Amino acid sequence: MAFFKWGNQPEKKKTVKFLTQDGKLVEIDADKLPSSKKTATKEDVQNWIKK
Amino acid sequence: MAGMAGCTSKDPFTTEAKKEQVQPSGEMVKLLSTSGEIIEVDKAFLKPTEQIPSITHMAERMGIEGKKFVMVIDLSRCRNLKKCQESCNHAHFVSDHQNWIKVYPMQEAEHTAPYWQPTTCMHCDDPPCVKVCPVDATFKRQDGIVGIDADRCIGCRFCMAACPYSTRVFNWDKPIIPHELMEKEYSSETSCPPKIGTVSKCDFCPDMARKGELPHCVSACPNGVFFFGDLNEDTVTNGSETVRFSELIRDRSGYRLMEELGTKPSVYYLPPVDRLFPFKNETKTEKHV
Repeated sequence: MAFFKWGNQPEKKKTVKFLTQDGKLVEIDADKLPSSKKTATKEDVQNWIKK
Repeated sequence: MAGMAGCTSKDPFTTEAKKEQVQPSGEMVKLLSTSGEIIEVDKAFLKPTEQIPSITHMAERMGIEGKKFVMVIDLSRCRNLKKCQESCNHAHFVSDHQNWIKVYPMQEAEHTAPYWQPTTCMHCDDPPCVKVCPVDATFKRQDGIVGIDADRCIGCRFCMAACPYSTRVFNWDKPIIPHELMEKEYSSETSCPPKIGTVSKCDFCPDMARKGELPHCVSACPNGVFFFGDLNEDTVTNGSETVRFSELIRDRSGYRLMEELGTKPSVYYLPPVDRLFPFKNETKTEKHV
């Protein structure tokens, strides 16, 4: 029984944390991440939050 | 748990994102990663974080700058309803035989008038508990609060022996808490999640203070027994009345418990004179104080 219980546990997906432009912290499943990324400049970071 | 993390079911991110097979909505949003990269993903893939990053453990130990928290307990208003205890236990997942707030029936002598005395941690300015802790698990913050880091506590109970007010309790039993909370990181500001084999006590609810709100016991008391505030601002409030701390103590002959010990408590008492209620036990059980 113990084996089946262990085997039936849902697999926890690996997630990555991000900050949205309205200041919310969100997570995205790692497999949903796009391959294209842009490195943020100093200005991007400083002006990131737009409310 | 979503509520605790500041998320509601109305949050646009929650409903769709929590489903296993999420269909793209077509609306793209820009996101900033912790490593300084900007990506664009479909909004439907966003999930709210269960654990919003809070302040660091070091900041929790330092306390709130410029504050010196004090509590005033008006004994003339207490009728042993124990709403304070109830709300405290509920907020901190304290079991009813390990209350952080205890309400003692007091009587100085056989022919003197009895009264109810709620007690919390005194948050002493010269705390004996802090001096005896061998692992630096209990500490004094700059805002006057004496906290406990359950991650450091080894359960030796020296602090319980040192406390002249007997306000500390030992967690003998496995705490009954939601599974989600069990997985959270311990915070000395919420004293959650509680841990078996460690000491705990009233923490003056510093997490509420950071939000600009009153401790749970203060807001729960229907008779306004508890006043809480900042000594530096010389102001205390019970939620409905806000008064000058110094005037309250001066005009109503405020005092502290066991002053002769030199522990300098942050909790003051107003004597049970001109009482609003007669002394009688109005709670259902008398088992626990």
